[in-house]
This record gives sequence, C-alpha cells and structure tokens, in this order.
Amino acid sequence: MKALRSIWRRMAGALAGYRTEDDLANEIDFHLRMQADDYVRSGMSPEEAHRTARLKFGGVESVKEAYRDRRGLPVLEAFARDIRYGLRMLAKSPGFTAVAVATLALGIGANTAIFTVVNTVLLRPLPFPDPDRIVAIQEEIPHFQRFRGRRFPPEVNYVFQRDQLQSFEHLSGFVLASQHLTGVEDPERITNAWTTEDFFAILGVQPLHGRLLEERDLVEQARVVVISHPLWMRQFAGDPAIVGNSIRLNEESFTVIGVLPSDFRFPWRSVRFDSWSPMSLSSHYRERNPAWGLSYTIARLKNGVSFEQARAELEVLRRRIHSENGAGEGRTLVFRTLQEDLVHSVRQGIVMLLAAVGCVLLISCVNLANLFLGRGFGRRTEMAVRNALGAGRWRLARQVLTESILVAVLGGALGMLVAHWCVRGLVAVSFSRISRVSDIAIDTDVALYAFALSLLTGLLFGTLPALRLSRSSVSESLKQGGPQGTPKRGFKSMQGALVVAEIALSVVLVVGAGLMVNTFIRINRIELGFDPENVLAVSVRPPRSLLRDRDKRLAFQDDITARIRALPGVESVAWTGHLPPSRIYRTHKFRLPGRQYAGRDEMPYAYSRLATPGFFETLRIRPIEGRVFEERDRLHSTRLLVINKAMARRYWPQATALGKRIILPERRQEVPAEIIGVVENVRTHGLTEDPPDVMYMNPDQTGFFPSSRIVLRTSVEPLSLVPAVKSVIREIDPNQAFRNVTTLEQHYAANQEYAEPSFYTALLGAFGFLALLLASVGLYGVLSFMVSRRSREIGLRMALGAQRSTVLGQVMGDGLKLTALGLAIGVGAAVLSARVLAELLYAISPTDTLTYVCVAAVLTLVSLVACYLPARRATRVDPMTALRHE
Amino acid sequence: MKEKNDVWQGTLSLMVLKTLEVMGPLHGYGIARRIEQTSGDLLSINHGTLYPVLLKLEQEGAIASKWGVSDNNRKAKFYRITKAGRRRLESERRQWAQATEIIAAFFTASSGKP
Repeated sequence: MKALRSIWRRMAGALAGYRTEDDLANEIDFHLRMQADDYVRSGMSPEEAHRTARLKFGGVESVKEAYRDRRGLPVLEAFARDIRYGLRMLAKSPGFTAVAVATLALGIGANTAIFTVVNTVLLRPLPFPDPDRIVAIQEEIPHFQRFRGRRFPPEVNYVFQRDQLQSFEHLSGFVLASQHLTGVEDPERITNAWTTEDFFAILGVQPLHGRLLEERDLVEQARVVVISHPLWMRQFAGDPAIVGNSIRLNEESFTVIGVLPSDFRFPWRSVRFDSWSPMSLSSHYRERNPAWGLSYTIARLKNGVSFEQARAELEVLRRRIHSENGAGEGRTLVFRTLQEDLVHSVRQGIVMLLAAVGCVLLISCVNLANLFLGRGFGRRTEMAVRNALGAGRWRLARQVLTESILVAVLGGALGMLVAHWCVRGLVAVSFSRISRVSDIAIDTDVALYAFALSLLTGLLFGTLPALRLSRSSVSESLKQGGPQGTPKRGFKSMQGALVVAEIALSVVLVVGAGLMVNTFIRINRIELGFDPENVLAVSVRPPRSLLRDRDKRLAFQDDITARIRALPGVESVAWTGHLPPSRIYRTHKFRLPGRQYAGRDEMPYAYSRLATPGFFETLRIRPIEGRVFEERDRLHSTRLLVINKAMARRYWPQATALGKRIILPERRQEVPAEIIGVVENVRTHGLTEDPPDVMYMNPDQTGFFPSSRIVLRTSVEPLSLVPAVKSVIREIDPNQAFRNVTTLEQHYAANQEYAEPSFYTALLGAFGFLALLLASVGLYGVLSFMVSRRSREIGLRMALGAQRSTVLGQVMGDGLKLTALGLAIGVGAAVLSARVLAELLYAISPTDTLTYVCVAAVLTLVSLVACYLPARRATRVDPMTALRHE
Repeated sequence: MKEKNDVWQGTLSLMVLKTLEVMGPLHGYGIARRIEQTSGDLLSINHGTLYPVLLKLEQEGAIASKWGVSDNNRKAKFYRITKAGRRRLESERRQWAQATEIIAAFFTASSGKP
C-alpha cells in the first residue's frame, strides 16, 4: 500500500512537475539563509557565514539531483527522454522513417486483416448459449471427395428418430425452400426453412415479438411462419403489428407468429434465412419418408453426456437404419460441434494465409533489422562517444530499441488503416463457404492484436541492431575513422545471415503463390463446354394457377420469351433449370431396348437437364451430331432427347447415337424416347470433375416445368438489360419476384471450385508479390551498403591496377553466394511447406519443378540486379576520390 | 556505499518522524538543527541529505507539508507528522527496540564465550 502510493506520487511527479523544481530551490535557499543567519549571530562575517552554510549543506546540485531522482520515476523519465530523442532522430531522416514505417504498415496491416478473418471465422464462439454443446450431424462420402471438405446431409432423417436418441436434449434440422412472397409492395423470393420447434431451443434464441414455433404448430400443421429481422424491416417496415397477421407465401396464406431479434443469424454457408415454418407442412414429414433428407441437422447435447457417448449412440442408430433401408453405402458419419463444422473446411486455408502473411512480416522485419544495422553503423561513433561519457550498454541498447519500437508502433497505427481496406477487399473476394463473412470487421480484439504485433515486431527487428550497436567499442570505432570505416567481420556476417533468411522466406512464399497461380490458370483453362460471356440469367416463377394447365403455362412462357426476344440487345432466349457449372443432382433411370434389368437399381442412369429450343445457341454449347431442339418439337409425339458426348460414347461407342431409342420409366408409364442430337460435354458437375452423362429434355414437350430460369444471350453488357427484362415480365405477371438475377459469368465466378482457388490465388499472389518486392529492396539495400562500405578498398585495388571486371565479379560473387545459400534453404523449406497447400491445388503437384525453377530464376535475377548496380557504381568511382573519402 | 546510504536514510527518516512528533510542525532547517542537537555530530556532515528523505516520507504519506511563514517572516515549507506517520513511528520504534535488544543479547552472548 505504502509502495503503491509512493509509486503513484512519483509517477505524478514525473509527469508534472517543473513547479516543484522552484519549490525545492526556495526551500534550499531558505535553509541556507537560516543557517547563514545563525552563523552571523555567532559572529561570522556575512560572506563567511554564507560560505560555511553552503559547506554544511553539501553539494546543492547533487542534493537536487537526488531529490529529483526520488521525486519522479527515473525509468519513466528516461523512457520519455528516449521517446523524445527517438522521435527527433526519426524526424531527422524522414526518408528512412517513411520507408521503415511504410514497410511495417504493409506487413502489420496485412497480418491484421488476415487475423480479423481468423478472429471472426475461427476463434469467436458462435453467438449461442453454450455453443460447444451444439453439434452438427452430417455424412461424408469418401470416394466423392474430389475437393476436400464436401459433406452431405445424412441419408437418415434423425428428426424422425428423435425419440430413439437419448444423448440429445434437442435435435432438429431444416429443409430449405425458396418461396414467393407476394401481397407486398415489392414481391420477392425468400428462403424459407421448414423446421421443428427444437431448432430455436438448440440455439437458445428468444423472439423479439410474438412467439417461436411450438410443438402444437407441428402437430396441427399450422400455417404459421416466424420471420427474420431483416425481412421484417425490409417488407413490413418493422411494424410489430404484423404479428398475428397473414402473409402470402407461394400464394398460400401463412400467419406471422413471431419476429426474430436483429442479432440472430444462423451462419450456415452464406444462406440468408428469411423465414421459418413447421416442417410438418410437408407430406414427406407426415409420411415419415425416410429418404427425405434434411439440408442440415443440428442437436444440443444433454447435460452430462459426453461428445463421444453421443457419437457412439448416433452411430449405432445410423447403422441400423441404413441396413434396414439398404442405404448409406460407403458413407461415414461426420459428427462435430456446430462451430467446428462451420469452419472445418476453410480452417486449413485460412491458417495457411496467416502463415503466409506472417512470412511477409518476417521479411519486413529482416529488412528493417538490416536498415537499422546499416544506419546504426553510421552512428557507431556517436554510440561509442556516449558510451565513453558514461552511458551504460543497456542504456544505449534501450535507446536503439526505443527507436525501433517507435517505428513499429507508427507502422502499426498506419497498418490499422491498411487493414481496414484489406478487410473490405477480403470480404469482397471471399467465397461462400467461409461462414460469418458478413461479421468480419475490425474490433478491439483485432486492435489489441495489431498493437501487440507492432510491439513484438519492434522488439524482433530492434534487438539485433540494439545488441550489436551497444557493443561498439570506443577505441575501435574512433580509430576506424568515423562513419566511413570498413565494417567488421561480425557485422558483415550478421547482415549476410539476414539476407539469406530473407531470400529463403521469400522463396517459400513465392513458391506457394506460384503454385496457386498455376492452379488458377489451370482452372481457368478448363474447357467449360459453354460460353459464359454475355449471358444473363433470370429466375422466374409462373403464377401457381398456371402450373397445372400446360397450355396456359406454355402461353405464359411464350409470351415472355417473345417479349424478351424483342428487346434491343437480346440475341437469343431460352428456358432451363440449373445453370452450369453448378452441380446437378437430378438423375433419370432409363432402359436400353432389348436389355433385361433385374430391378430399377440395375438400370443405367443419366443426369437430366431441361432445355427449351434456343438453349444450346444461347449458351453456345456446340452440337456434334444431329440437331438440337426446335419449336416444332413441341407437337412431336415421341419424347426427343439431346444427349452429351459422354453419354453417347458410353452407350453407343461404335455407332452413332442418332435415332437410337431408350425407355424412360416414369411414374405412371414407360416413355420411349428418341435421341436426335449429341452435343459437347459441359462441366455440369462442377469444374474439376469430369462431365457426367447428361440428357437434355425439352420441357415444352414433357410438360415438366423448367423450374424457373430464363437465359438470354446479349450483344450488350448483360446487366444493362436487367430493368428492361424485369419490366417486360412484370407486364405479364405483376407479382413476379426476381431473385437470382446474375450473369452467367458471375454465376461461374461464384462457383466454389472457382471462387475458392481464386480467393487463395489472389491473396497468396499478393503476399508473394509483396514478399518478392520487400526481398528485392532488402537485398539491394544490404548489398549496396556492403559495397559502398568497401569503396575505399575497391578504390585502392583499382588504383593498384585491378581489372574492373575482376572487382565487379568479386563483389557480385559475394552477393550471389548469399543468394545461392538462401535459395537452397528456401527451396527445402518450400518443399516441406507446400504440402500444406496440396489440397488447395488442382492439376499441379506441390513439388512442380517448373514453378520452383521459375521462382529460383526470378530471385536470382533480382539479386543479380541488386548486386550489379552497387558494384558498378563502386568500380566507377575515381580511386583518388575513394581514398580521400574520409 | 549505496547500502550505507540506505541504512542512513532509514535511521534518518526515523529521526525526522520522532522530531516532528515531539516538536510539532517544523521547516527543514528546524528539523536539521534539532536532529543535530540531539544526535551530536551525526548530521553535521550534510544537511542536504535531509531533503530527499523528507520527500520520500511525504510520498509515503508519513508526513505532510505546507508553505508557511517562519518566525523571522520568511517563506518556509513546514512539515508535520500524519496519523499514518505516527503509526509507523510506533511500529518502527518497537522494531528498533527489538533489534537493539537482540543485537545487545547477541554481543553479550558471544563475548561471554571464549
């Protein structure tokens, strides 16, 4: 307590007090006068009295000094002095300071940005009570894993099995359905989740208004809906009176029973959940159709039940049901906490980015350590003199460290700004599998991280120069003739080591970037089989009343087609279901005529897609044989099929597939179908998987409704046609909602297999480039410093008749030796670290020789230039000037 | 050197506290004179050493200071002992007595043996 108070007072004293200085002077003055008065009274002359009083008092200045030390905290004051001095030194060389601060701002900024992602996506717990007790249940099909982390909804609907599972307090899931919200000012497509009352109990959410789903809603199959806060604000202006009123979803009336709070968000993929309704409204639920898979299944563990117990129980049940249904073959259970499940597939990538950006910062550190060493070399004399005047070694080291930490903190502050921009960019290029992307923002955790990182960085690059410089010996540095002396061996070898480290680090980064860029190039080179340029896709849903009447529906469709085709800038229009390259799941079984099949399971199958006439032209899918659909086919009695090359090759490898017939067993009858054309394969199963067998059917003919999409090829920028297309459609159906209005290029770029590599490529490419830049600058800086220090020696040798080329060769040889060593270490490290990348790569090996050779060549070139320029300058110097250069 | 100083400061602060307890508020010179009178030559070396000690005591809250006017109408800083100072003086006095006793006993014992 006493000590605390004393320290507090001393801190106050350190910060404030020149006034007390006067006080002390007055007090001492008073003392001396009193003493002198006493002496005068005892008979001394005034001068004598005054002198004796002073003697008696002791050294006034030393007392003041002792008093001052006691008054403030000397450490604090010295620190403040160091900072002032440091700032002065930095202000004196603004160029140096600017380079150092900018380097750090980039390094710390990039690190902070990536950490922001790590913090939000990986570290921050989910915003639900006891998030580690919430689990997600999924399945994995190991042989299906062309790209890592692909999980599937379980083939068991655990919601039906809830009663048999003892380990869970609540278990629920949802099935997503797109619904058409009408009866509002701006009709729209919303995402509705069919779920059970347990869903909200698992997440521990309370309604903002009204109530959430309850058991009776499911039992009674009540047409009720809970809406999200954003939907409430967007469509109902945040009016609480909406609770109890009805809204129209897919032209049926639903009563709004509750509104969720604004901070509630279920961070699953990038799905925007708009509303929640009872799952029992689906006939699948009522029939307990075991094949009815849920989009996602989550549960909350019962108190006292361990994670492993729950998994074991689930596994037993899963096996039993699978064997009963004869399903689930080759599937394994994936049982993780919800948090883990949401981030699992991206963790490795993000951690890799963090490592990469850490490397960039390390390179910056090495650069700065070198800069400080170099600069410190010029200050050796100053250091030595200060040392001779009594400054301790620790004191000098602290001064140098203070300067480096100052630079680091300045860099960190600027880095926050850089991070702010980087985060925005990151969010813009991120892909949908990163959950909680919209939550990514700089917060206090991130700011603290940046500050700590700055301090650490300052220590990291400051320690070496500080130790080195504080060791400057007086006699040596003074003897060596001021700032122009030749560096000692130790000095040189330390700089050499830093250069080697720098090259090695950048090799690792640039190799990683090179591999990702290669992957990206390869993905871009994949033959899509269609041309995504200048194609607009619009989802349209015909009014429900038309769905059952084929003729009316066709009329609706034709009307829209005709009107859109008439728009200026539209080249062709067609209707289809899925857009490539999104994966399609709808398959059709078929029979080849003349073959017998034991059961449905034995029959071959192909993926089916819907395409109206004009589809192949619009997407520029090349016909290989025969013809594609035409308008007149609508009236054709036989079902006509266009198949892709893969299917033709598989079933009719020898002869042409044209005119061949297959039989499609449909619900009520067996439909014969005739193949009229073969078209080029399209990447319909994602980018990296081989195209599967596909048959195209004409919905005009089959009566299947082409679920919704209009595709149009334009001769102008596709998005510029959006308003015209919308208004044309609204002329016919004013209630039309538009949800997925995209260009095919956007759709393609959003594809996970494209978006993910492009994300990593963009970032790693940027880091690699930054590393290369920093390393070149660092290399150049160090070598030119080392050469310029040798200018006297070089001048002397030139004067003694050395050939320019010999000197040049020698100087460059020194630099290249360092480069070679750095390359060797770097390549070794890169081979080891590239393994981490392996899963992100496509069609390229992590040890791709060409990439390594290119990287080595580039770095060698950079260091050649970095050595050559200063070496040439050195040999150009007039020997006399060099020798006099002191 | 430093340790000796610490010991000196320790005893000096005790003397200052005792002086202020007995004499009431006093200025620095007064304290110095008083200690000099009581301790003979001990403080005759340097009056200046007193001031850092006064500052330390004040920072620790054992004494308080105030500017006032001396008997001969000069501006002077007066120190007085605080409650905390009295408590501290008492406890230190006890410790001091104890230490003296122990040391005395120790000397007696060791001189008693051959």
